[in-house]
Amino acid sequence: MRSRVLFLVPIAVLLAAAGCTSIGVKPWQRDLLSREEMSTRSESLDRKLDQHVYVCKEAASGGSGFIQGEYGCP
Amino acid sequence: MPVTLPPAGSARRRLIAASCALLGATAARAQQPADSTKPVASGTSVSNAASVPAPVEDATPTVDRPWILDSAIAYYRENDGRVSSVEPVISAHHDFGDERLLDVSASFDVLSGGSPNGAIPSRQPQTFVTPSGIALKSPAGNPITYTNTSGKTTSALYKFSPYTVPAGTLPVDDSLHGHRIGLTGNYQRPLSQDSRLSYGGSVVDQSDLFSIGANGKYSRDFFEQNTTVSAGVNGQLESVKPTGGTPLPGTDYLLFQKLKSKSNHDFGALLGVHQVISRRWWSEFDLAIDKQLGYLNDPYDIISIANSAGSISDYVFERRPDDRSRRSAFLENRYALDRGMVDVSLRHTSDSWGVNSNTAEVRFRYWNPQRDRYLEPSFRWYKQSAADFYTPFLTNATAPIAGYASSDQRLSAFHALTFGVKYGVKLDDDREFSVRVEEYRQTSDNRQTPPGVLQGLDLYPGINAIFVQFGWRFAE
Repeated sequence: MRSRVLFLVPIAVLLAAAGCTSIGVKPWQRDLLSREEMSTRSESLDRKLDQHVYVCKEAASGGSGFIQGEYGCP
Repeated sequence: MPVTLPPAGSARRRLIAASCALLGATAARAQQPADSTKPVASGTSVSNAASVPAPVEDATPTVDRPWILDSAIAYYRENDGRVSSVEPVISAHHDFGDERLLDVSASFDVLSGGSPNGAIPSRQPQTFVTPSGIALKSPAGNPITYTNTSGKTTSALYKFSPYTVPAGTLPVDDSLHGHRIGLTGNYQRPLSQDSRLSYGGSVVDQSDLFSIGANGKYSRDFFEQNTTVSAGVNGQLESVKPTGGTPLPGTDYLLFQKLKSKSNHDFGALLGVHQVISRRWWSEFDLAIDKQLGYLNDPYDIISIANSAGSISDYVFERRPDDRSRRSAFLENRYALDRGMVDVSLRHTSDSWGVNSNTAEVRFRYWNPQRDRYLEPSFRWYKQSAADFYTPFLTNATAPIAGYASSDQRLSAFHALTFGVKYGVKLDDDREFSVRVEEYRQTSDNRQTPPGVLQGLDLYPGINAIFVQFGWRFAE
């Protein structure tokens, strides 16, 4: 139960923060956020290859995205 | 009004298109009432689901949008001649505009080398057979009997390849050879101005497994796209067809009681929030749950049975529960620097087998002043507890074992460190070459003292692995 509460704390903080007027940007202020390195898409291949190694050598899975199976492991 | 661009460099085309759209958006904004709260030409979030389409959607210029092709060849090698693999992979990304995105990827692995079979080192040489073995014979060459699952006993002696491991050495099966083909696809389309739906699938075919999966995710933007909430589900079906058959869990290794192919399935769900904090900073938090049901054993993993003196008397195939629930929480923060970015992520996972883990990772990218070369060092720390039924060996047990037991190193207690660095060179706006090197060090945290003469042997060897990746990204 305690771990479930801990899981929900960050999401509640993010949602609460979303309601604050002092955070976030206007559409014309996204210049830095639009840089290639600020997008997770540009590194998706690296992350996919990393995850393939980690899923095969460690019991944990998941993170940014769905929890994965252990296919392709020796 | 549609704008047709000349066939020049794509970066220049995008810049022209973005400028035209920005002018159009600015004009539209000027025509709005001062108290209007409706976002105009609102750009986009940088979430996973919809990262950085050009902030020009309202103007809808006709732009020649190229395919972005990302390719790599990755080489992985473990210490002491254990597993090595070569994996070429290619992915293609296309932005059709209007937040319609397509991603497809294909990969091909070739595995070779040796993999620990789960048994521990002994003071005596140990003889095993490769998984393709159907029956064993004694060291003197006399065939032993083989009893199948229906109780039929034969003395057939065929299809086996023994290998002997010297005393004091970790038993490793060197016959590991295989390949794996993986295909994935994902398509995103808009549902409304602020919401999107993405769905995809995957197919994996390797010599001892076939897997097919599907997923779907709904995302909705709030607060001028500063907040994106996503929810998704996924499922996967696996058919396990190990070389030599699927061992009956918990049975005597010498009897080679094997079944035909087995299967398992997997259902999961994901809930995520992506929040833009400032002009330089975004944060993301994801929760995921997952349920696996079916045959979840490692069909090649065996467990040594030791007596109180430390002699190995027998081996059994591992036996795991046929269901597993997993949970993960993930928090990532990324901050834009003047010439790069820093990314910090934390993850906590737990599962019904008793494995809890924590992960921390930091990456830092630094561009040169010309912004055509970058260096990206990274560091990852990982620690997990052991599964409730993990045991490196059994003592005074008899086959078949009644409870759950596995000696799989992946289910043991250990910590791991990854040191990495990536170097990238942008030849122009559309072409980038990169090389990435990582070192992975896994150290066991098991402290179970073995009986008798086994003391003093290294029963918990770690893993040292090197990973090298050459990448080539280009637009077509």
